[in-house]
Amino acid sequence: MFQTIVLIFIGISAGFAVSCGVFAFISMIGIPPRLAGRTHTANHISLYETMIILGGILGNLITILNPDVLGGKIALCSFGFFSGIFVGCMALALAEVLKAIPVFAHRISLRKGMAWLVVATAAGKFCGAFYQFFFSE
Amino acid sequence: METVYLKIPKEIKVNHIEIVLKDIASLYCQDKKQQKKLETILLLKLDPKRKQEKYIVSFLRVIAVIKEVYPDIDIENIGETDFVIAYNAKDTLPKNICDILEWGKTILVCLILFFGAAFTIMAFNTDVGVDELFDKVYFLVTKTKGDGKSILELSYCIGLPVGIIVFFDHFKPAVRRQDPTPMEVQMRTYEEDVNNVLIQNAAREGRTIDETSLDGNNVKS
Repeated sequence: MFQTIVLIFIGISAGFAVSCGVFAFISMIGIPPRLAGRTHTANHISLYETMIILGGILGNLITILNPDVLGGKIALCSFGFFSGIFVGCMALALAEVLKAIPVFAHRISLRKGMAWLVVATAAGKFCGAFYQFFFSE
Repeated sequence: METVYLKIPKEIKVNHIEIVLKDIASLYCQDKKQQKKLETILLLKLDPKRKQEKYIVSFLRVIAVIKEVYPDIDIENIGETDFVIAYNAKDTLPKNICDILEWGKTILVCLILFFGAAFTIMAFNTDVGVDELFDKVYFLVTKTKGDGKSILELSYCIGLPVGIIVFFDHFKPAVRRQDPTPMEVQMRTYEEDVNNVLIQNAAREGRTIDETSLDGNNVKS
């Protein structure tokens, strides 16, 4: 009995701490405001929060409890596609937060072709991911 | 001498093309009659051909248009010195199609965020090896081996949503909430940053609308 209480306590505190950390990260990296700004749907920001919460809960349940998830190819495709978009945003947002691109461009006094830097980054990420999934052992 | 006080916010959203002072600023003038007149002074005429456009305007422009009508009035600015006028033409499409389009975009963003959040937490759990960690903790506490679906994992799954909801302060009705949620704060911070960059870019490229382009009240193209 005592052990169960300890386990419950550890589990809940761990979940609490991890979720605050991970979701602080998601919101501070600024992907949701950016997507909302791009699509001019800032008034639905509260709905976006709900989706993040639901997605986080579902993802966590899947990894921790390993249930049988139904949905087949459609679920697979949508998971891959949409989480791909999200990670794409996140990867560039991270580079941006670190000010890597602006600092680098400033150092070599690059003035034109900032748009191509982004295209090149996207192409590089595509090649890297493609190689990693389909050709590397 | 009469003094007029103007407070201009950083971003003004409009959907008509004749911008008068009342549209952009809160005015205060002791002489109420004069205040009424000041409010209707034309600041600039936007280009109706461009349906969505952001105009960056300098306070000098405001001074110039007021001084043109009232040369001996004192102008006191207690707001921004440069501001953005975001013009968004009234939609030409029927309203229900606009609604459908907007909801389509919203659903797309929802899907990205839903699967993205799921991916992030799964990546985190895999990356730090939560499974092994919980096995260790389980053994530490009970001295028996867990099957990976014990009360510990279940509590973790309960603690996680509690943490998120506390963090986002989400399921509280907006009327009872005193502070904005972190996401709302981020949204406003983002818009603020965008406006600052727009203003600085316009200043650097000399596109800021100021007193020099006053003749005819038209916008330089």
